[in-house]
Amino acid sequence: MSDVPASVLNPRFAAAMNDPGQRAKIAQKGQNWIRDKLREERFCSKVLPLESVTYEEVQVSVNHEAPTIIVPLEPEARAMTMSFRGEPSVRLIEAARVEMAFITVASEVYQKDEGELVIYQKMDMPITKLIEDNTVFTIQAIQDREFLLHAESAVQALQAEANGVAAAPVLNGTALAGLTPPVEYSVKKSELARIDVSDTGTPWPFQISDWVSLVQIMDSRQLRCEMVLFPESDWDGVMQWTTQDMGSPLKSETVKSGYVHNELNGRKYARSNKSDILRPGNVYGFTNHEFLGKFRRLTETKFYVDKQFRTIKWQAWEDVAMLLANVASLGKIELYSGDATAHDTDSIRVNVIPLEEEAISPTNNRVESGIWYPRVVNF
Amino acid sequence: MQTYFRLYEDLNRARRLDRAFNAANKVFTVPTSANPLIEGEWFEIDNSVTTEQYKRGTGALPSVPLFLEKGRPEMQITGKGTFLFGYDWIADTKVMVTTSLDEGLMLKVGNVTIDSLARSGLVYHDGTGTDWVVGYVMRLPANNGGWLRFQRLSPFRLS
Repeated sequence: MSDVPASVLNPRFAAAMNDPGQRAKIAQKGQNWIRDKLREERFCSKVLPLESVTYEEVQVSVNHEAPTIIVPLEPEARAMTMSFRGEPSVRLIEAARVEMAFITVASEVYQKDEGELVIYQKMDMPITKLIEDNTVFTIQAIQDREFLLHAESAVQALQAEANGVAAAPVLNGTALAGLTPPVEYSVKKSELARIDVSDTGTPWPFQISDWVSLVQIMDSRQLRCEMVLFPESDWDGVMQWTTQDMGSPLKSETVKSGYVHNELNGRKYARSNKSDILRPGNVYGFTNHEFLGKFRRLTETKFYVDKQFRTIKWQAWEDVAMLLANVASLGKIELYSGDATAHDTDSIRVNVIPLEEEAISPTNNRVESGIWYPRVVNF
Repeated sequence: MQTYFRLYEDLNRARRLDRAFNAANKVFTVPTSANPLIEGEWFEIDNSVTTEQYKRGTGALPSVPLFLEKGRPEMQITGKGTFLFGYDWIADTKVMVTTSLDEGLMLKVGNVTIDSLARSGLVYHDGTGTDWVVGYVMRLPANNGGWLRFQRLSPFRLS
């Protein structure tokens, strides 16, 4: 933050818009406003590192106007035993390819009348800079949502395949307690969830046995789970791990300072407080990105400001492409006993899948509903 | 690449907004599906669901045209189409039926056959019934290289 006060910032911002040559970003100072939430950077880039691509790297389609990237997958290789007189089978080499397409993730178009902008000067609040900063987080939150929707589709696709059905079968405590429980191939219930036949969406604490269960999903496929993604509230369950789970020194340290290490069992982990996207009770495991997919950016985040007469408008956007090519390279542990498949047998799905785009990042404060304390009303 | 719709308007004035397809129509975002969505088809709100989702138009509700080509990757990825929500713009379309059309006459959304498949396109509105008027004819296909030129109107009903 610079030392430019908001009393100078807002009219200077408005003044800069009068000069077509100047679309300068103005730094902010201080903080005279109440924040609503703790905003995070995207977690999907911790699983799939974001890399920029140039226009030279994209492909052109004869069927549509959108740029894409062709991504090849590693071809299979086999060996066999034979006698001295035998000869091996022949394989015509070819590598599977998939197309990765770009989408635009954009903020709303923000508008303000030049005259109204200066009232924020009186409140010492650089509103334009605030919105600009928060917009970046909002765009990344939508990318996280897209990532999780694709991850969920991937794990459920292999669930369906493993069970020999078109759609992943019902997976809840009751089904697992039945005579023919579904195969838990890419989605597993946690130890406490699987014995809970009340089939609800309430998460049970994450136990160390659940960690083992999750990493085994990939470790059993000639892959290795390298990154585990936790909702922040479920990560807090680590505090409940016993001395027997962690050892006395680590337990003491954890009770005092929280779990401060970057790895657990030799695997990295990431946590997110975006409970509207990574809903509590859903813990995902991923391999190294080389075995999983790609995340590419065609344009850096762009921020454009325009002024027409007295109205100032601004918007941000980013063009990205995401691909989960190897659907076997991820798995999921559900800490709740209810059914989260498309069947939604227990009517909990709305509580365990990412919220709709329009509902992302709901406001915490209730000021617009008239709720704050002590409440003083002037007119 | 075959095209079915050409817009003659400043893109920023045409008010392009992305909205979700309903489950049935989401399947048709794939170009190899049984009846893929094409640019220039008209869509109306599916009022049988609680969230804002769109389906191929019937004329019974106000409709908006799709502004993405068949099989557009973003459409397949997001399950959303880009629709033109603005009014008074001018466009050429092949997603239409010429029966009874003449310059200046009203248009509504109805069933049209394009590439042997049933789509939602522009048809003649005879001024009766409760279907919404969405535009009027500016130039007939016979005089416009096979394209129907029309002006989009703010939708209204005559009864």
